[in-house]
Amino acid sequence: MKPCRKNRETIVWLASGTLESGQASALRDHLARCEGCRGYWEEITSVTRELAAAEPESRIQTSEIFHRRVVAGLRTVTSASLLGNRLPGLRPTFLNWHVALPAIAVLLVIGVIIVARRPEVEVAASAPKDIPAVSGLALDPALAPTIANYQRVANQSLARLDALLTRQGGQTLSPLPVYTASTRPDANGLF
Amino acid sequence: MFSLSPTFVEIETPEARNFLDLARAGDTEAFGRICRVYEAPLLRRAMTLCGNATLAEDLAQEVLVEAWKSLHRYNGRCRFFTWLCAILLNRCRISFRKRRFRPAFRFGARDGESDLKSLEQLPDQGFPPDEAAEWVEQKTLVWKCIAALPAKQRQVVYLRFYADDSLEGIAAALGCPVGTVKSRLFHALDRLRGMSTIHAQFADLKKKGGAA
Repeated sequence: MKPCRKNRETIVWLASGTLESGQASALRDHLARCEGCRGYWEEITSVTRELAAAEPESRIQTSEIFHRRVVAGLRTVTSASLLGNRLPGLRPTFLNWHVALPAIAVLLVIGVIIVARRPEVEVAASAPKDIPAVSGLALDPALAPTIANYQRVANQSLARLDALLTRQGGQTLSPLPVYTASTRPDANGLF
Repeated sequence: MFSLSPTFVEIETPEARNFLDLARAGDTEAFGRICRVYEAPLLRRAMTLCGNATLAEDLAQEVLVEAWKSLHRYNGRCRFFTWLCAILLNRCRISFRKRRFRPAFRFGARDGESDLKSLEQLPDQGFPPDEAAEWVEQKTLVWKCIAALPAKQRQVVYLRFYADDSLEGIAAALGCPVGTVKSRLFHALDRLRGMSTIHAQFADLKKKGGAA
């Protein structure tokens, strides 16, 4: 026989000891009359009895070592939190992302501006000093318009390379010799 | 009818409450004294959940340290032990998810595959061997049934029957309304009733098979 639908929940609460006393006495009266509800109550009571009997083993005890380890853990946490307390004003501010994110963005923008402006400052500072030195480069046969020379000058300073290229661009350079298979200087040695 | 276990009545002593007040003011030593009171019951419950002595010790220690860290969140609306048990259940769930250890009780585990070796190896309480074996079997079966419940229902059953708190206390520990706790308790016990019926029938069949 099935229990009354409206009483199922209250029967469970009665069996688990969580029903208020007024409701409990009314339900007990009903249980005396209704066979279905009584059967359901007996089943639930059997479950709660078994749950109570399966209580964790009371003979398990902790050792002194266990307690020492717990206390050591507590001390570690306390010392770590003390460090955090030294900066009481900053901590909540930086934990707030509404403040931290714009601050990070502003710092990034400032960083980018500084990096972007740095070469211009260097050129401006070094150009007047370097240009006279570069002006003599074209006369130096060691600084012929070769990639190796450009690399060497670029390694010293980009401003100097710029000045050299500007200088050489304004000059009429002697045409480079064009070698063919028959006119190569070492062609005789090969054939 | 289910009645409150006397084990926990003696835990919530005025002295323990006094230490708790000191600990909430930041006194580590006071919290250490509280740990002495609660660590053994907590270890027992951890042992039941994970079934391994070493892991249970680690779990119980983690719970106590976590409780110290989050002591400001304890509002006194539930018993302190219930609050510790709620942390334990949460830690346990996280550990299962990280596969640090397997739950002690699983449905479908073959006989002898249970992780509850330490409980089975405990000396009997003066029972004859066959009765002691039956007692262990029954206990294991109950815990398997609890383990088969959905997590939220399992929490409520665990806190009601093994932390012995009121519905209001359980609701405060879990951070949900009392009505929700009552509903979960109803569904959990109703489901356990179904499971126990199936197991009783299965045990009868087994006995009949053994007798034949």
